Amino acid sequence: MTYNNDKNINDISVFFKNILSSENNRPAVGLFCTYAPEELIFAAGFVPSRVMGRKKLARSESYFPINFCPYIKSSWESLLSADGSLKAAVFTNSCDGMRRLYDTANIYLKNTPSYLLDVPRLQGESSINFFKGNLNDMKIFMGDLAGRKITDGEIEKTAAVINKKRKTLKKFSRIFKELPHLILISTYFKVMELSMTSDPLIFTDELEKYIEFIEKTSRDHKIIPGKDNKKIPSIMIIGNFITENKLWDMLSALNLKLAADDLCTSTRYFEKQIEINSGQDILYSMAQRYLTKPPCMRMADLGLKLKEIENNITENNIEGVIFISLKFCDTVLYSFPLLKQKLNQLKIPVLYLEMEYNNFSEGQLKTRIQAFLEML
Amino acid sequence: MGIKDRLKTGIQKNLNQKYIKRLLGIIAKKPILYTYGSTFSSVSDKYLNIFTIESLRKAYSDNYRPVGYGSLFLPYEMIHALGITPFLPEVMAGFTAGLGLAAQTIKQASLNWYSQDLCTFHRSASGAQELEVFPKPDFILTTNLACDAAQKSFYIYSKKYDIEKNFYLIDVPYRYSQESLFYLTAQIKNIYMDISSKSGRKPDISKLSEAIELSNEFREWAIKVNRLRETLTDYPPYFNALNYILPFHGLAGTREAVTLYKYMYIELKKYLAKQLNKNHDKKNLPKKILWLHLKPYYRSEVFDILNKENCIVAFEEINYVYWPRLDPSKPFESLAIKMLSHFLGGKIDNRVNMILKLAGEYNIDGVILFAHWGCRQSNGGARIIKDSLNKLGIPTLVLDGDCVDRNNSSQGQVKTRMQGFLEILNSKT
Amino acid sequence: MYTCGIDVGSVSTEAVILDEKNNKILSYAISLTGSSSKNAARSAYEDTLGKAGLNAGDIKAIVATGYGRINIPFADKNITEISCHARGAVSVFPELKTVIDIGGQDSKVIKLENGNPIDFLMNDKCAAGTGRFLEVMARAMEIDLEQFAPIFIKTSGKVDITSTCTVFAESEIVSLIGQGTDKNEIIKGLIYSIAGRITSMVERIGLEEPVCMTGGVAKNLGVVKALEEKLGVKISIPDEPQITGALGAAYLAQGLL
Repeated sequence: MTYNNDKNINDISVFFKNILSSENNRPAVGLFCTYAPEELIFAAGFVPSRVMGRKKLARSESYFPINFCPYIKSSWESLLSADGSLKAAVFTNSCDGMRRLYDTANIYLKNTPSYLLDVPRLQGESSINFFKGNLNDMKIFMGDLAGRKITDGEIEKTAAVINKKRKTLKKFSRIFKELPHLILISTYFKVMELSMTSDPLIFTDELEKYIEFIEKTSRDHKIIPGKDNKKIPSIMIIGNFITENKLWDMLSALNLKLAADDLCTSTRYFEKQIEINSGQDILYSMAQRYLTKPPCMRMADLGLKLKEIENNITENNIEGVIFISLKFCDTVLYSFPLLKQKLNQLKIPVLYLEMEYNNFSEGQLKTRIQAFLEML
Repeated sequence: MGIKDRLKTGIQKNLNQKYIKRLLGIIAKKPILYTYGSTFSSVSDKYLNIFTIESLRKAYSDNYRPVGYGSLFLPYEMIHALGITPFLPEVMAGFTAGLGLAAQTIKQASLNWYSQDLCTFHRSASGAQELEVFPKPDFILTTNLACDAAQKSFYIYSKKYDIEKNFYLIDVPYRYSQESLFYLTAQIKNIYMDISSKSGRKPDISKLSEAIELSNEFREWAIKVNRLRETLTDYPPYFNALNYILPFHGLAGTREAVTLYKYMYIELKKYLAKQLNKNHDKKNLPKKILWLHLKPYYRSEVFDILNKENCIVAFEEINYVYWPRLDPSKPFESLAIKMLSHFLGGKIDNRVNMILKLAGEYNIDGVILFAHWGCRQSNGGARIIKDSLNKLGIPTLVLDGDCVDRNNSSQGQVKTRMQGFLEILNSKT
Repeated sequence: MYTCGIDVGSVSTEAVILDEKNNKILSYAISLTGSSSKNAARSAYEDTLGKAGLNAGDIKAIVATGYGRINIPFADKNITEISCHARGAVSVFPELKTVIDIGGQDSKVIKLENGNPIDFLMNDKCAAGTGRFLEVMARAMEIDLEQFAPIFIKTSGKVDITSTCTVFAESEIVSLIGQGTDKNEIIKGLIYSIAGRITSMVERIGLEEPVCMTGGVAKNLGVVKALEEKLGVKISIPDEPQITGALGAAYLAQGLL
């Protein structure tokens, strides 16, 4: 949809020129999980970059069994084929698969230092304090990588930068939901992917400008945010590391509004800020933010997660849920039975999908999703 | 049809709590239980069966509350000291395999939206719970040691029984450090205090110290058994150490565990003496296998093939005494130390180093890693384990299979792989 | 003195009679297994005896291998196809380090050191890396399987087949044909598909030269070429690749004398 003569509002290459052209400017540290603080990586002077694992599996197959997280196998393929291009790789003990990925990287990567951050599964005060200690350990690792000691002041600065990025992403997310006919689902997730893989300062700057453009466009064309002319179903997507562009393209072409999500490529990534300057130790504030942000299903209290999902459904008038999990993800797949039970209680229909990575069965998924939407 | 077969068919046809309770009520009655016990030629095997039936009877009866579900790698000293009757769903899953119930429980799990890519130890247990075959629990305890599935399946139990407030997950830190020890000790202590007060009891720490002392005693015997096994070149027919996961973990801290392992030691010592007296054909000594992970708990020919090819399982990682002698005067810290010492926590180096050590101590010729379907924590490290052993010239077989669901692997394929591997071992000079 | 090796596979059964004096193959027979592995073994045995002009009393030892090896009462011993394929291949190529065997319903890779197997990987869960895959596709495309190799060699372009499962790959190519895609390019894609599966297995175990291929699919030069390309090595093929298992069994039978 082109509103101005020269700019297609869904053409990312136009609005994020700097990011897309600055691919290899600063050395990057790879990460795999929303619990690895970008703030610490950036404070050391490196770009925190979520490993997207876009390579098709070849060598990776000989390291892991067939029934293993496809994101992990694809990431390993990327790490193997470009050993040394990242300054380091930061892992977390988010799940069994990730622990093994770290072990494998630690042993078989010759040119990429690997670090594992221990993330607690409990979320109380003592866990926050324990996590603070682990963050300090990661700070020392990043410092060694950078060849200097990282100060609290530097961390406060980068926390402010990442906070701003998150705040801007949240604003973008709100606008996207209010203007479903303007911003495509595929555009939204392309922006999300850029946010996870690029220089935070440059990205935030370009996102702010993009948001201005969107707001201006909707004002100029008298599009009222939040008002749907046609009634299309409000959907919530729940899942894990879902980044398949073909999936987003498919959803963009279907009749639905993505009114809420619980994905680590979206809400679980940017919701909640770090409290700075509140008299609290910055690492404590960081630990607090990470342990209390919208949780991954790997956290011990699944009940909290279910309640949060229920609130999301109510607040956003969700009519249907699409549950998408990467295959072989024990944590998320094992969360489904209770989720299904809860959604049955709320009388919300749910579509259950499993997906591979870099191996998209378009026909099969399209049939299911289309049928589900027709049901609503 | 023998009694055992009749019992199996009975349970298969009547898979519900009431029937099991009645059955246990009958079998566990002292005269019948002892008669059953006397049919065993081995005292330790007898105790294994009797203690298992006894503990199940208590869990199903309403007279031994509180009942607590526990995952395998918890410090059971604590559970016994709290007066909780333990019930281990993962071990029960093994029983569903042995009793021919797994097809029903796994089918039920599929109906209830448990994905088929999940490990059947947890899936079969989840299915059994959905079928309401398990006793009603008062507490649910689990830990992140050693895998993801247990953490979720046990939470689901708490939700299904409406006891989320009595759900406890012991979060074992990744690294063994002073901070980790402090954090974990506090968790264990808090849980102990919380459960005590919820049970309406004053927290009795002396009971915990007693349990730890008993645990130390059991540990001593287990170590003695393990030492003895270094020199054994064959085993009595009843002896399969992969059957002892329940007492080794679930009975830690009880007098029963001490009794069982003491008799195991006495009997194996006698057996070893007989072995040394026989004229041993030095040329025909069996090849020694180190077994990693667990085994099929349904009837499988896997161990018959080992016999046929003149190989024995010299040791299993699951029976390795991985923790140090515990200090009863520091009970909570001791249990934290026990958990932090487990080789499946932290970096894979912990597991690999243990395997290499055992390979040396038991003079291992070959290693079999039973690659149980869906066990990501174990199978994800297969390559690393294989490469590490390769450096020592020890071959490894990564044997794909399923410990609980016999339909999830072809027996013919498993046999061929086993036999092929053992042929390789036997052809080495 | 003579020994006999019988390889009872799920699709075909082979028997070989070996002369211990000069290690020459006296005779061999290949036939379809059908529904009874016992009968298949018996008739293959009698077939080779007939061809060699011998009777049962002349055979000093028999080893059975393959999927149906366990039910052969007249065999002296059963040994897995891993040991037998390795032994058979090494008798033809003594310096061999890797054996790739693609049969009708399974495939395997065997690693050798000093002529002995030291590691192996088997795929017998899934049709996608086996002869069955090619059969199914040949039928679906209504093209003779024998044509696959010449088509592979003369065609330059290929179509990527994305389905990892034989059943779904069949649907995929049917719809490709429906869309008007060049059948030759599809065939080339299919051959690369099966080669890809095998390559993964080889990489899992570690490739070492020299490499040889055995089993019925070794007769398909298209597959051989595709594998050579993907693995970057030259692959040797024995004159009669399908009897390698039975040949190895016959050699191992000599050890029983």
